[in-house]
Order: sequence, then C-alpha cells, then structure tokens
Amino acid sequence: MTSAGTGFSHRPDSYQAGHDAATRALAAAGLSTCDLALLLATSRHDLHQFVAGVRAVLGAAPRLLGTYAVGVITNAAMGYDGYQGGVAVLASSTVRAELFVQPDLAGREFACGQALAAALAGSEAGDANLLFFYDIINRASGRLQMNQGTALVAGMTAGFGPTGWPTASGAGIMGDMQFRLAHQWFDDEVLAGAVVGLALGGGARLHTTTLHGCQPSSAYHTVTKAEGSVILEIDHRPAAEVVAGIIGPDSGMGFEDYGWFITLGVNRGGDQWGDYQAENYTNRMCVGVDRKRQGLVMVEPDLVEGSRVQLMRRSFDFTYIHAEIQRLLADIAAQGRRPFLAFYIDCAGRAGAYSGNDEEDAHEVQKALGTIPLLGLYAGSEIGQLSTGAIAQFNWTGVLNIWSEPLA
Amino acid sequence: MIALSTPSDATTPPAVAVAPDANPAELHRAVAYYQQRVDELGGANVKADSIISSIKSDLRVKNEGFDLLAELQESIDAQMPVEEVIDRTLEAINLRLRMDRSVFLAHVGTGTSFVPRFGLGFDSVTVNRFSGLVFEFGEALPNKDSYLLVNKGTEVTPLIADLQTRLGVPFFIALPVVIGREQAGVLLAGRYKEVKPFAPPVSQSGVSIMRAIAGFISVSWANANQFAILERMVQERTAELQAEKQRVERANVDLEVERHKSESLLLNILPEETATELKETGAATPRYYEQASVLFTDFKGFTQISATMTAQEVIDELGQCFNAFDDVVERYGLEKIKTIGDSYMCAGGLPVPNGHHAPFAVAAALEMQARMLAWQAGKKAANQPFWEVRIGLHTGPVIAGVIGTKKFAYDIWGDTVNTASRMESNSEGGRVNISAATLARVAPYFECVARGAIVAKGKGEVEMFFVERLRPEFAADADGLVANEVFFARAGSIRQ
Repeated sequence: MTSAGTGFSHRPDSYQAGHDAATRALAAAGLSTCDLALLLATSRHDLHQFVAGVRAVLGAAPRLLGTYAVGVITNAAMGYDGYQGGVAVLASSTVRAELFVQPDLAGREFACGQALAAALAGSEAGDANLLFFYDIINRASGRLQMNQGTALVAGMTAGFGPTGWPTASGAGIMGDMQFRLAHQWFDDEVLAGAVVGLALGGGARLHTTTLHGCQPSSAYHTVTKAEGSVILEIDHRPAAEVVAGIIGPDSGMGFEDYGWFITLGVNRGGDQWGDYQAENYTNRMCVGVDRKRQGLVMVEPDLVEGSRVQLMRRSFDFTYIHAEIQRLLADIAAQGRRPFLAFYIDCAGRAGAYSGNDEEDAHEVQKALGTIPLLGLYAGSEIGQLSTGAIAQFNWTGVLNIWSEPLA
Repeated sequence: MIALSTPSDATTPPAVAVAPDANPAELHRAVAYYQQRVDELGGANVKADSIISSIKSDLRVKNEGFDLLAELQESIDAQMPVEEVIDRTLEAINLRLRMDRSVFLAHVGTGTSFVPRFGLGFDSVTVNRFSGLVFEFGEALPNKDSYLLVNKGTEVTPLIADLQTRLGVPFFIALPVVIGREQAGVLLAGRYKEVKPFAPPVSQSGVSIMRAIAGFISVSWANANQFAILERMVQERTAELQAEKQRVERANVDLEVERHKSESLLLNILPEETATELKETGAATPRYYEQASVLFTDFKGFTQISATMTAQEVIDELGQCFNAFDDVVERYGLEKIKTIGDSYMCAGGLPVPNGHHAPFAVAAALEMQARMLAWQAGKKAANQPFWEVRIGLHTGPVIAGVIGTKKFAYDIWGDTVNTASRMESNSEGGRVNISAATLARVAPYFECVARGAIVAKGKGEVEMFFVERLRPEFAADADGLVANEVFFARAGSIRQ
C-alpha cells in the first residue's frame, strides 16, 4: 500500500518554504515520515536552504530528487515566476524508488542519455517506468546555450536498445524565464547541468498522456534548408517570409513577436491525410528570428531538411484536458489499479502570464484529478510518448503522469 | 477541371470537388488552390489568436496593476508615515509587477537633482553607495505625465546610462512623483531581463500602472502631510491643555496647602470636633461636660525675673516652656484651652468625653514639671535666672464651646475652672496641687500627700493634695514624673 501527498509554499524565505511545503505534504499524505520526496523550487530560492527546510521536517532518511522549475503546481495551488516551492512525499510497503543521475550534460546530451538508459536497465526497477528532468540551460561557455533534448532522447533510445523505452516522460527544466543557471537535487547533492531520473518499481506503473493544446492551422510545408536549430528556408523561400505570408501582411505581428508564439508541428503518425490526432504530433516553438537570414530560430535542431511542418494554432479552450484525463483515469481503473500520485509537466509558455490566456491549463488538470495527489512544474520542454510508442520532445505541451498500484 | 457539384436533393450538402477525370495539371492547381486557402484561413486564425493574446496580456498586466493598487489601498492608511508607504509600495512593485529592482529617488536642493532614498532588490554594495549617488534629471521628466521607458532599443542618453550603470538596472520605467506643483521624487522600477521571453522587458502597460502607483504615493504623501499637520495641531492643543491642566493642578495644590494651613490653624485654635462642627454648620454649640479635669500652670517669680530680661528674651523663654507644655498636652490627649500671660490652661475629658481625663491630666502635670526641671538645669548650668512652675488641677463639670462670630476661641466655663485656678494659686513652685475630686480619680496611679484644708479665695476651706510622683509601676523614670506604657494602658482603659 502506498501513501503520497503534496505541499506548496510561496514563502520568500527558502528554509521556511521547504519546511512549509514538506510539512503540508506529510499532512496531506497522513504520514509522519516518508521513503521518497520530490522537490521543486523556482530560481529565486536558495537550494541549500530549501532542502535544509525539507530535511528538518522529513529527517535524514528519505531519498530526495528535485529540480528548479519556472513554477510549481499542486492540487490546490499553483504559481510561477515567484517564490514557489513544492514537495511530494511517498511512503510505501511495496513500491520502491530508484534514483538516477548523469552530470555534465552540456555537449554530452547523447552520451548522458545513453548512460541514463543503461543505468535504468541495470537497476532493480528495470523496465518499470521513468520520469526524468534535464537541465535545459547550458552556460558552460559563459553565454546561453540550450542543452538539446532531442539528442538526450536519441541517446536514451540508443541506450534502451531493442527492448525499447519503458513508459516514460521528462522535462527540460529551468528555474525562471530569464534563463538563469538552473539546479537539480539528487539526495542532498546540488547539481547544475545534470539529468536526474526516477523509476518506481515494486508493482508501480506509470501512465502518461499528452495534452498538446495545438492544432494544425496550415497546409503541409517542407523545410528545404536548415542549419542547426535555425530553419532557413521553407518551400525554398526564406522561412520567416513564408510564415509572414501565411499569417498575412496586416497581422500586426513583427518578427520580434514570433518568439514563443509561432509554433510548427510535425505529424509523426503514419497517415498524413487522416483525421487530426494530437498524439501523432510533435510541436516545435520558434524562439526568435534570424533577421539577417530570414530564418526561424527553433528550440530544437530536429526540423531538418525534408521535415514537413504545419503552422500550429494554440487552443484557448482547455475543455479537452478534462475529457482526456477522465479517459486516462478510466483506463487505470479498468486495469484494476489505483492512482497514488500524479506529476504534471506543463510548458512554461502556456502559463497565462506568457501566453496571454485568461485561463491556466493547470487549473483544468487540478480539477480533473480531484484528490489524487498532484505535483507539477512549469518546464522549458516536455518529453512524452507518441502514439507510435516512440519518445519525443514537445513544446507548448502538457504531459501528465500518473503512477498507480494494484488495488488491494 | 474543377466543378461545383449540384445537390441531387435537398438533404445532400453542396460540395466542391475535383472531377474524377481531371488531368494531373488540373489536380495540381486544385491542390495549390486548397493549400492556399488553408494557409489563409489558418493564418487568419493564428493572427486572430495573436491579437487576442496581445490584448489579454495587456489586460492581465492592467489587472495585476489594479490588484496591486487595491492591495496598497487596503494596506496603507492615512496615518502611515510616508517612509512606510514607499517601502510597502516598492515591495508591491517588485512582487506584483515582477520587477527586479525598484527605488524611490528623492528630490534634493532647488534644481532637478535626485538621490536614492528607498530601494528594494539591491545588493548591499549598491545600497551602501546610495548615499553618494546623485542623479541630475534635467528636463528628462518635465511634468507629471512624463516618463522614461528604457528597453533594448531605447536611445541611451547620459542620464539613462548613468541610471543603468549606477543602479544596475538595464531596463526600467521612471516617472515623477508630484505633490501639488512640486516634484517630490522619482519612482523607478526595472528588470534585468524580460519577464516574458522575447517581449520587451518593460512595457507601455507597465508605465500606466507605475503612473497610477506614483499617483497613489502622491496622494498618500499629501495625506501624510495633512495628517502630520493635523497631528501637530492636536499635539499643540494637547500641550496647551496639558499646561492648563498642570496650572489648575498646581492651583489646586496651592489651594490644598492653604486649606491645610487654615485647617491646622483652626485646629490650633479649636478642637477638631468643634472645628468640624463650625465648618459644617457655621456654629459650634457650647456643650456641658459632666466630668472634666482642668489644669492651670503659672510661673512663680515670673514678674521679678522677666523684669531683668528684654521683652524678646521673655517671649523666647516663655515660648520654650509653653512649647514643651504643648508637647506634653498632645502626648496625653488633653485639649489646650489658652494662655493668659504666663499662665497656661488645658483640660482633659473634652471635647470628646473620656474616662481617663483625671489621671492623664495629673500625669501631664508631672511631666510638665519634669520638662521644667530639665529647662531649669540648663539655666542653672548657664548661670541664668529661671523660674518654677506651679500647677493645680480640679475635676468637675464644665461647659465648653465657642462664643461669638469674630476672633472666636474655644473656651471652658464653670466653677470647676475657678476651683482649678485656685488649686494652681495655692500650689507651690515645682509642685502639682490637686483637689479631692481629682484625687479620687487618680489615687491608684500616683503617690499623693494630703495638705489638709486650705482656704482658697472665694471658696473657703478646700482639701488639697500634692502629687509627689507616679507610683513606680507606672513611671518611666526614677523620679516618677514621666508615665510609662503600663500607665497609658491601664489608665487609658478607664471608662467614663
């Protein structure tokens, strides 16, 4: 039997924030101590103080895994770009937690992914499931670069080999929207530029669903020239010019408005002409325009020559979230299992303050999950599973994870 | 060829289709056509989303501004010092508007110089440098509607560069805080980077909110000034009232002192009960006392000795003796009636009747003699002339009270008074002479010697007794002239 609970704090004092969040998490779980705690805090917090506050409540025994985040979500609270902190605690007589870490991610994304997959495959948790967080910020050279999630995923794919991926999801994390240096916790160790992972063995099962919030809004177009993460040409014309042509000359948007707004989707399903299926798509966000070359600077470098892309339209209607989560919960119940903890990875760009939306998609997730303990974070990128079973990195997406155990 | 199909019946929707027999060129044109339309429609949607998103972002910022102002409105009251108002405002700006640093620059001097006065979000190094920072705004913020909005593309003036460098805020909004017509300060808030990625770090919406906040500070400041004026007036008035109260209190104290003096004086003249009756009713009714002991003293040889002294020396010596008698009278609870020349008259058992008046009066007489012996010893040692005192007492009924309305005095009348006077005149220097009536009441306490019947003026023969001393068990001294505690306890318990 497994017990879990989550707690939230937005106190500016990092020690108090960790203390409060951990205290509330234990109280919500009805526990006096736990086996595992997941920690989240924004970059405004001092990581050492935050974990000291958590330890003061939980003691020295529980294992800890955590990361900076742009924001934190729990069942009753959510917030970003402030002093948010969150803790999830878990205690179980059956479920066992395995934690993984691969440091020095910068420039070694593929190798780190491969090593992480090998470590998981060789652990007791084996092929159970995996939730991982990788540091998206790379300031190793002194200037801002992004660690490449696609390379990390490719490395993990290689690492898992023929057995393939377990049920998995992940997040590219950062502590704020200013791209300051981010950190991760692995037990009491504070890291930067690392990938950390959690696998729950002992009968726990991970169920995930992708909540894209985007739909194709153009015909297919083909990337005809790309350089790294910059799409230079689409349909043999300057990429930015193509997008401007689709949006229209009187759109009121300049190139400076494309960053974090223009999203291109790739249909990775089998049938390019079938009905729209969200789980077939991966979306890539444009983060700026290379004015000189009229290129679109994308978050990831995976839109290479030959990629067929569509301009994606973001949905302001979140009602699909409730329906999808109810379907997932029904599926879990049909398997004779009980959900004991949920973890939501939400794109930071979807947060109301950044998207211009009145509503927060996280609210819909909170409502749909009801009393199932929920911890979540606002991330820079989201990693989930396509309908084909392949793992892919997304943008402008929410990935919901629910762990379950067999009903007693 | 593209053909518009004709509905076969009313239930069949119209549809656009490509004819099955269209050639590849036509099909390519059709695809291009649809692709173009899809892009246009999709682009229009994305464009609409962009506009909606922009409007909503703007609204969100404004809502946050309203929330901030509402928060300030709730948390700040008119009595709050302006320093605290600004502190709270800066905190709200940093937290609510997600600014990294905010500062209030106060106007100094008569020109357009401003110095940092309050700051939030600054490191200690910068704060320590505040006292040395002066920013010359010149005409940068000429009126209350002016502002500086500094983003990446903003032309950097020397002032902007100065603010950026010395305050460590690359992007900021700065606008004036105006009170009346005076520019009291500059409110500046800024960020290191944009909050929303790729958006301007500070925006026009931010200016609107900051302007409202600056207005709020202005009003709060004006209120604080008004309140300070009001408070100063209240303090001044309070001080006046306090001074008036102290003056009245001092007057009351003076009055009380005077009243006390009057009272003391009155009590020197009248017994307390009589004085009280006189104060309360305006008159003191003479009262009959069935038993009282009256004591007279007179100095033997006073006339002859005083003839050798100056008047002042006589008064001084007489004063010493009478002061000693006053002490003794008070110690034995007697009532001093009056002095007539060198004669001293007192009585026991009035104005409040008691049962111990006779032994107490006789004991007082002996102690008066003891005091006189001490006084005489001093005189003898100084080889100066001295006199002796004759004392006589009688016990019987008297009438006591105040007669007249001016220069009134408490007095006693009756034959007992005359007899007591005769006891004194028939006494001897250094002796206490008492009547048989007195002896009957004091015999257990004193050793007395019968003198036999002696002719007294106007009384014929009267039995008289000299009081030798207190019986030893009632004496505090070897001579038996000063009563001890046993005497007071025993004789004091005598009931009427």
